Amino acid sequence: MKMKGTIWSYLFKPFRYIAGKESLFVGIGVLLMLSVLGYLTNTNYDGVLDMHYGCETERLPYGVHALFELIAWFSLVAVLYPVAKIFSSSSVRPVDMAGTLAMARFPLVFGALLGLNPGLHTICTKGISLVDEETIASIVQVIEANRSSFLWAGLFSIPLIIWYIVLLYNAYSVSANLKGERGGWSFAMGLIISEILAQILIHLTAGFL
Amino acid sequence: MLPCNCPSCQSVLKVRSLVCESCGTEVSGLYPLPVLARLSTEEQDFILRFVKSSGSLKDMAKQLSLSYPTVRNLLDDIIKKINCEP
Repeated sequence: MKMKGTIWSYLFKPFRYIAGKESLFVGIGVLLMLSVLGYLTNTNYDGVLDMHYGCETERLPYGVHALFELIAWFSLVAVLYPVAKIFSSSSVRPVDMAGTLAMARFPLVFGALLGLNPGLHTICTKGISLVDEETIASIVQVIEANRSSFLWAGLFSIPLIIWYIVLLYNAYSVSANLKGERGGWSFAMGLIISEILAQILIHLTAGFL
Repeated sequence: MLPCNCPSCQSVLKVRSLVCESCGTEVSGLYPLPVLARLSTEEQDFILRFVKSSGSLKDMAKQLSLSYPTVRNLLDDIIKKINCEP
């Protein structure tokens, strides 16, 4: 009954093989890596599902990137763990939930590597009004000038986000033994709430940054 | 593997007779299959390993190269299946 893994199961269901303390160590490493890469490539992970390329003239300090990671991780665990406790009939360990959810953020590393492209840091919207026609025209101009960068970033980031959400679901599913319809909708509901919580926490801490 | 379901209507099969290979005596009746015999080969193998490892899921996870929650989920699924058995 030795379980052999395939490349696909290692990519999409790594939590079949790694969970608990090990996943927590790896996951914390992933969060650290994301905060450093986010800082170096000016990529902001400001939410559970968010990845934005910052304007080249508006770089955020490292502490803010570290805080973004902490908030995203905390929001996921703080919401999905109680949701799992409510819906699962199995015992759910917080260490599994925290570790696997942190590890699941790994695909976002490739998003930061995309951020090495300077063409993606050309739109600066801080402090401007998007209803202003001149601003919209200038943004359209910037997008047209960097059309290929935006196109490739868009095409590349869609499978990345799908991979990320599949990993998040599998982290939740393995940690809570929830699958099928019950697992699907409880996860979707938890993910939306955790995104809202992350945005509230970012808004609340924005004053201190 | 012992057949558990009727190939025609899928109902759970029962044992009609048991034979002694040494003297040929045959005991007839209508005996239900034990719960464990109704599980799949993989599930029976899992239970054997579970007993052999003194019920330690951590040891089983190491033996099977699987994570602890994955092994616990396999056990929970077997428990659920056994509880649903008539």
